[in-house]
Amino acid sequence: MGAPKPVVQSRSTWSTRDILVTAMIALTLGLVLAGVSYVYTVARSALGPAIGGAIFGAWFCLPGLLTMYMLRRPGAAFLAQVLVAFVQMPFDPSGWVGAAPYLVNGVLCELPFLVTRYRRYGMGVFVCAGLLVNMLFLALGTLVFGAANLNWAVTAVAAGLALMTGVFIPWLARRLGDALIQRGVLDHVSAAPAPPEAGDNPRAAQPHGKPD
Amino acid sequence: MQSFYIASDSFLHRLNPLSKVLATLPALLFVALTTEPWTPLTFIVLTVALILGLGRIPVGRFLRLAAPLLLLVLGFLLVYPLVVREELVRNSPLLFELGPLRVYQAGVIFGLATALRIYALLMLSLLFTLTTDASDFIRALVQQWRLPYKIGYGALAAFRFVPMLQSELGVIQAAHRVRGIADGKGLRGTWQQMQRYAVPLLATAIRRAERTALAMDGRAFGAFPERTYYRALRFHRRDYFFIGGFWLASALSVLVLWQMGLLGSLVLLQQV
Repeated sequence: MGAPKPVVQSRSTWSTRDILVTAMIALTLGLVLAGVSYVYTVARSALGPAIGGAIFGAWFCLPGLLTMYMLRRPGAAFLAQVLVAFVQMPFDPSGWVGAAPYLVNGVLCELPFLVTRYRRYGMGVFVCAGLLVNMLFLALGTLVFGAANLNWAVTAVAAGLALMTGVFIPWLARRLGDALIQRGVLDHVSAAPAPPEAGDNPRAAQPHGKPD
Repeated sequence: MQSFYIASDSFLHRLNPLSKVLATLPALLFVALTTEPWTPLTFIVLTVALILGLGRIPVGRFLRLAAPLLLLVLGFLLVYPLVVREELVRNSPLLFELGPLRVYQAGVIFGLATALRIYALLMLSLLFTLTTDASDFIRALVQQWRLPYKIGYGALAAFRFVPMLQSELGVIQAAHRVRGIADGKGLRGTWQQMQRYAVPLLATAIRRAERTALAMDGRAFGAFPERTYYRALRFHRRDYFFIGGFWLASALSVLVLWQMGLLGSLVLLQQV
């Protein structure tokens, strides 16, 4: 019997370093999100699931958006969301059930980038991802938590908040990403974008694609 | 941060984690679609009996976890009757009036059904969370459901860094205090605090990840498509027995509720 053949790394293969970097972003933000999910549960009980979901929905895709902004490669957002789902599981009473929305969020975060064939990383594409995720939370609120039977004023407030956080969280992800890139933490990671110069337009940090 | 897992050697603890997912999945989907209080109540009783009986979770510890969750879902019972849509309560008797707020019987039943439904979903999830080590769940996903092991072990490596991150946060907080930066109060203070802590914490974590990845690569991690496992997980007869038994108990409960006319319509088929 011969020795097993080693894996030949293709360009699309994720290196251990990329996976570990994604895992650590997922862990750091996952622990924050475990706290956010408690506040979300309280808000959901106090304000109703539609409003609770609208306020906090996009928070749960922050790791995916940040990873996509920093690594800029197909599957980055989905992989980050999968890893967040794993790392927050022991700290969330919902366990694997609580992990499931992260996976759906991962797919939704990935969609706008897939549509642009991973060539555009402008604010518009990120906002699309944030809004898609919030739409999912509103739909969940309607289906599982009975929000369809609440009055229209509540639903309208929820939709307004969904719009606001759907824009705010992608903006936050990009700001965090810029701060980290400027500090040079991704200098050795394969697909990391170049750091923006001080006072430069942050869009200069997008060597792989055109801005919106 | 405290994990919800309670270590023990009970029947539920010895099951393959995936069998608990497979067993509870149909019940979770069904309960999520119910609109009457009786179905979730039945599943709450069934699941709590299983957690305490087959999971041998001490009653005191279970209550300490389950009681706060009950308080959270009670919010639905208090808020929903006040904000429910008019069409739902049009032909329902008025229970009481508080100034402009009118509480109808149908509104209270709707709030109760929603609260019980959420609690039933939480209890069905707790059956897994209290009795399953998250690392075993990832190992089972890798070994049985072919999750790429590089991703699975990436997550397992991340678990090891939880204490490191907590101590790192302590160091950053201490460093800020030494420099005389006071922690602000209120929403604005929390936001400023988050900004101050997030970047150094993420930067440290990413740098640590790079060093760990080098160490793992140096030990030929991911060099071969197949790998061996120190802790092998497989499906035993008890797993099939549990899945079949849970499905049967769930189906019988639903059948009995349907026969008694307590099932109600499902959310997708509901005419409001």
